[in-house]
Amino acid sequence: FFGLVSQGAEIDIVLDGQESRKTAELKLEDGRKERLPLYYDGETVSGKVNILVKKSGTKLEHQGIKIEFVGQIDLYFDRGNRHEFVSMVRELARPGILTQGVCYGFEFVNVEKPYESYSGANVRLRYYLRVTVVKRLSDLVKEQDICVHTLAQYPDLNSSIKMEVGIEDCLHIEFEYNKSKYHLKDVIVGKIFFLLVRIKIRHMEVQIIRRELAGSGPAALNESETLAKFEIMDGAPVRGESIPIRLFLSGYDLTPSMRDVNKKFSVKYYLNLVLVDEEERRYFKQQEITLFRRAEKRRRPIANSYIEQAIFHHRTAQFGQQQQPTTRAQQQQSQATPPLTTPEDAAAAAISPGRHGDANNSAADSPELESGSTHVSPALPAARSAPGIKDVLGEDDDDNY
Amino acid sequence: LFWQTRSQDMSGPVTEDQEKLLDEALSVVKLQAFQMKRCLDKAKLMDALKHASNMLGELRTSLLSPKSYYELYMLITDEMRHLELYLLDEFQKGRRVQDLYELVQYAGNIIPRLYLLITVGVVYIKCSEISRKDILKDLVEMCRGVQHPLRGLFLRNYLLQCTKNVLPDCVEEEQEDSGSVSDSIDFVLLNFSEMNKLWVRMQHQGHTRERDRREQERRELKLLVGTNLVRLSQLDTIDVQRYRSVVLPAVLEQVVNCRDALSQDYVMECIIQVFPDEYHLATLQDFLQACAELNPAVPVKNILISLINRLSAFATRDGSNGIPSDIPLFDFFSEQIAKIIENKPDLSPEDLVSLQAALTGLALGVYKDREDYVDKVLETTNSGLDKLGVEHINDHSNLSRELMKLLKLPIDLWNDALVLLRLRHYSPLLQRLDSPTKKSVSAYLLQNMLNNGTLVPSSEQVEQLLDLVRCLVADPGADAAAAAADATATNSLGGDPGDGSANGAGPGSEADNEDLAEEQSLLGRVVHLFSTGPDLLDEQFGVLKTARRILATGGGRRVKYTLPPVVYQAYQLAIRCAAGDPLPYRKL
Repeated sequence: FFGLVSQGAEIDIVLDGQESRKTAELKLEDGRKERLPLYYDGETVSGKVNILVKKSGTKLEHQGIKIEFVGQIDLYFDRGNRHEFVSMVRELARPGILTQGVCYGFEFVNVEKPYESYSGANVRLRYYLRVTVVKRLSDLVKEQDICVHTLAQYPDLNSSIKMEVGIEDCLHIEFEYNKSKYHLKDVIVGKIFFLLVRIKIRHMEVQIIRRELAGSGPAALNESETLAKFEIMDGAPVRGESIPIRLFLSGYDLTPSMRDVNKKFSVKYYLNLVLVDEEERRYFKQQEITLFRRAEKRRRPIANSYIEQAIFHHRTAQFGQQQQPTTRAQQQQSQATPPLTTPEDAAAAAISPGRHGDANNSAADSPELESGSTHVSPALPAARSAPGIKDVLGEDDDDNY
Repeated sequence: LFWQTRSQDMSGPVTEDQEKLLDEALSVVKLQAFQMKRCLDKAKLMDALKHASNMLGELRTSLLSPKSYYELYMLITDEMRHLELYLLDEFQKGRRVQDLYELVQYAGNIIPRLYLLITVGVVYIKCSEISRKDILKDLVEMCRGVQHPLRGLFLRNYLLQCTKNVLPDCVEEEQEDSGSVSDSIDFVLLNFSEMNKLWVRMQHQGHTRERDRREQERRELKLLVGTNLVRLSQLDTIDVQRYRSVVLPAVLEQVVNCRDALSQDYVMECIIQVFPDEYHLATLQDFLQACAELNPAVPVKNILISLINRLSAFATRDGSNGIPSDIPLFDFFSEQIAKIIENKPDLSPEDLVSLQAALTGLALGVYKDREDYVDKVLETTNSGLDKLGVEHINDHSNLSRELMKLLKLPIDLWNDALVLLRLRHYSPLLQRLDSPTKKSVSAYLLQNMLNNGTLVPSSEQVEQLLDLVRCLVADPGADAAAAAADATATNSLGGDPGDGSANGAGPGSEADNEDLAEEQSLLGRVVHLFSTGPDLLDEQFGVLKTARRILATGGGRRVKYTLPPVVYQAYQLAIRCAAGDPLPYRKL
């Protein structure tokens, strides 16, 4: 990055500790990727600003030099309006004249960075430093982006997602995902159990879909992107087959879920289970999941921990019987298992297939089902005959393809 | 080796397409394999895995016949060996690749993913005993994702082949999670059930008009399923106890419940061939019980006969201890066969007879001195044939052949015609045969007597013997026909070949006369075996009298062969009488 050369000055922003600081990649508006220094909420952003007068001997007269730390949301279709949610300024120099190179230090102490950097289809959230050399005619400006990640704790309540869906007399499946909230390096463990199969299935896959909702009101734009297509079954199963799912999220370029960020945009993630039959008809069931970013864990020193991880995840997918935790990892996980709910709660969950997008929105709203239970709530038969059920396993939603 | 040659090849264009498709697939494989190996040489593992994945992608095809798919599979798995060896080498040199087990699971398509997972999993097992149990369990469970029968069968075969030498074979776990033979048994049994399910599923895919081809294809793949049983038999720690309480019940459950005739037929046969005979002896009831529950289309008799023959061989082998005395083998099989006959009203007579023949073989082999067993079998056969309403047995029929085989068994295995005479049900069975076959068996018996020098020492037994072979002794019907034919021949000038008499095979013909001569001289030579002990001159006279009386009924055509030996014997007797002293007993 080289600063504006016109009018004879080069501005360079150097952040403290850049050599040792971690970096992260962010996509630019034009699709290129940029590697930026990584900061977290509450971290001080400090460094130096070097201003170099190009032609020695020239004088650069200015009305003041300042540096700003800005966090802003850009809606691509609404360029005029910039929504700054963080804005801090430091004066570097009073009006004066620069004759040679000069270096100013700056420090934004414990600056708040409430949201994660995001670069999407119709919206971008960025943090940057902006140095402005104010001049009479036109200012000299230099920007330096940084990347911000927000970390979340492992949620206290993290129920599994389990649902029976289908098309009357045609296909009934019960699917289960071990959690509703996953961190970005997590593994989705689950299974699909076939209760009734009267169609000839060719294969089944799980997709990860990101839905970005930018703006609000009538002008809001909804953009879907399929980030992953992961085949979980090849061939036609019969009634009674149980197909395991193990999908490692580290393999994909994902961000945490973002809910109504500064009331400007949301980023939601969905697991889309898709079955394709011999006649190319597609049946799908979408389920929202929450993604969050967890602090980097130091790897356990046990030699086979990676195997343990991978296999443990599958063990917990042996639904139907309550498994006694046998490894430490399992014991840790099972502490997060929520208690059994009342039949009323279960009934509420059963009818929710009609509102499948919202049912598992947040832990506070959705009732908690016991992991590993195969109980079928008494309300389910009623739900099955309700008109909603036929829509639940829909055919060929153009949204996604 | 693996493929039996098909008697009927597929139609032309289809075969050509297959060749082309296979060639295309093979060339992709060769290219990707080459790239993979090059990357491995440069230690660029991730790139090598990408090429391996591309290569494995060829196994996702639905266009190849099982035979072509097999060829493709063989080439690819050969190449995967290189990858495995490379990884083993790296691991053993301490250059463990972090998270490799996880990394290969990022592959988006399930077939390459699982083949890679198996390969990597086995490397992990070979390099460390820890978690062996977990890895094996994980691998066999994750294979569920492939539900396509052909692809699933080969995938699981790959799993079996790769894990061939790493299945735990010890009673107790040696280290934490290294697994014991129980885990191996669970692993293989699960793999076997899943493979059998897939194999049976092939029966029901596709059009009904292609059913024959599908069945043929299924037969070509049977070895894939059977290998599971072979693997179980290779686990040394499985003793007869474990076999009986764990292994066999699980296998039988799968076999019986699948209700598929092809599977049942093959697997039951496989069990017999693959496991030791001591195990079969210990589990006879369970096995036979399962036989009774099989799909009616399964030729149970073949399975039973296999088993009986195997156990007979086992019992009579050199150095064998024979059948343990607490196992009433004959009764078991006798009962089972009776059950089968009862439950299968459509059992053909020849199947009935071949079953009884196997049982006879068992009795003669294992219980040589139990004549009553053999007689019992013959009795059952007789009544069985009665129940099936069998009256006339056509000479060239299967039934005739089977019955002949049955009747020759006691002759061959006892080498003592006198025992036969004691069996009440031998003659009735023999007499059911049509004339030529009957004569053949009778002659066979007589020849056996001559070969063994079996003497007939009493008048009563002579009578019994000649009654047994009565078809050779006398044949009034044939004599009359021969006489008529002669008459016709002499009456017409130059001989009328119309009824095939003069030179043909009809009664009175040259060929017929030759046959008669052979038969009767055989009978004649047997007369020399009619010999009581050295001092029993009176009895000897009685024997000769009986012989003469019965043989005379043979009529003119026969006595010219059979009576001279009697006369000769009589002279011998006279000489002995006259001499007063009994001549030394001489074997003729």
